[in-house]
Amino acid sequence: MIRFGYSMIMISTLIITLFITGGCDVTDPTFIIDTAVTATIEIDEETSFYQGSEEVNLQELLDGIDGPVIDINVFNITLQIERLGNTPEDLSLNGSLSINGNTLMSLGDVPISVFANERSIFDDALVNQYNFSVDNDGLQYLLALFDDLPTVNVSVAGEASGNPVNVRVLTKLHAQVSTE
Amino acid sequence: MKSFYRMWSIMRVGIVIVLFTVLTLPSSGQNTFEETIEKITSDNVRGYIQPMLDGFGANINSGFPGSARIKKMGLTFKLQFVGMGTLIGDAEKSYMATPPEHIAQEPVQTATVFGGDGAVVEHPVYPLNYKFQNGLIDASIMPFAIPQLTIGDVFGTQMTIRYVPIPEIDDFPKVNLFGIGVRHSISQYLPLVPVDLAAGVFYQTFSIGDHLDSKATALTAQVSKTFLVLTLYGGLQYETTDVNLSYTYTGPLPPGDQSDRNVSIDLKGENKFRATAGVSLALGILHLHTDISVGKVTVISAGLGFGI
Repeated sequence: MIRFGYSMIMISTLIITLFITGGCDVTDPTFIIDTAVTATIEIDEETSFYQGSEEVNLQELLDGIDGPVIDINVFNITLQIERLGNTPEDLSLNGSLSINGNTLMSLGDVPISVFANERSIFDDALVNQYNFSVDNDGLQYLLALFDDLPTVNVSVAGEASGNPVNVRVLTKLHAQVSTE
Repeated sequence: MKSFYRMWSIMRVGIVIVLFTVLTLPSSGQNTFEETIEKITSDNVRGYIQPMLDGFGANINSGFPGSARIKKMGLTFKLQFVGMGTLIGDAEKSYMATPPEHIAQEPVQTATVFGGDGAVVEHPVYPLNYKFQNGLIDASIMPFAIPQLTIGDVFGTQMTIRYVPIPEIDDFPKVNLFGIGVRHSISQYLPLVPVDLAAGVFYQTFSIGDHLDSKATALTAQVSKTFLVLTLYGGLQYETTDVNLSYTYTGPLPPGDQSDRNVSIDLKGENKFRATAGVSLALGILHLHTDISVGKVTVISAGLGFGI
């Protein structure tokens, strides 16, 4: 009787397992994971002319991703400018941000307050309300680097509306990694 | 005692196999389900997994004893293994999602966890695109399985208990399920009614690892008629499922977002009412049953039980 009970339990467990797993196939999943890398450039100039640069390793976009990388695509680039020290609150910037010397974005007398919070450089309001533009050639150059993910030089340079110029420029590249 | 522990070991193996198949995602990489969820923003997670939570809620509120025949005083001691599955249709495979603000604001239809490829939205001007998460489970049915013990009958009342504690095994997180329910015979007060009537209430808690906690309640009204070893049964049920999904988001925050990386999402199963019809067979100590429930989703269940 006890052996019969054991047999019934084993058979029933297997039947139920087969029943409920028969209709469910777990696919070989491709996960899409959001990731980002930031270039932080500190500027501390007593005059109105400013410049600064930082090396950024694009391989950092793959930090924490264990599986094989199937694809990587950029979906956003953001800019934030933090005012430091005695920098005038109403300071405006003229200048550009470049990747390995290729201009990515240009600012024409844009108040730094516009970028007090992290903001997408592709925001329509920036183009419509301010003298701000994204250089398509520079963007194409950046996107082409994603085949190899090298270390790039991110630089800013230009002239501000006043002085001193003590700011922190944060440029963040947002990407998605498709992995298994 | 020895035989009891052996029975318990066999049952645990079965449950682990079932739950492991359902809840873990095979991967040649090393991203577990939990690690993946941590990298998905809360807005995407909600719409993406809602159908899975609806299916889970429908499943966990299924499989209760169906026969309304409860003696005023008697002995019922029945151990059952119940398998259930929510049918997955086209409505469960896609949802409307809004892309990131800088790309587009028109909602797009994209895949849920049961869907195919996620939608890809392109920026109207720049060579940028945003990809929504792909579906992960190709299923026509979302399965689940639960053991339950029914005891009674005292003053026309039976109690049903569900309990499954599974420790953490490698990448498979700890799972805990506990449920308790009570059914009371109504037909004992209506001796002239030619069918058996009962009403019941069930409460269950279910947790997976550190990320998912859920509570489910069900109120049932049951009717049945027994013909020798065959019982036909049916019923109406009101049910709720509340799920809390919590994790620490490790991906990049959207521009300007200063919010806490600790994410806590409260979700509710959308199943509220169901109608059930089923049949059971009593062959000595062996009991078989199967039924179908129709509500917002359709659930089928089948069980094998031993006892009196």
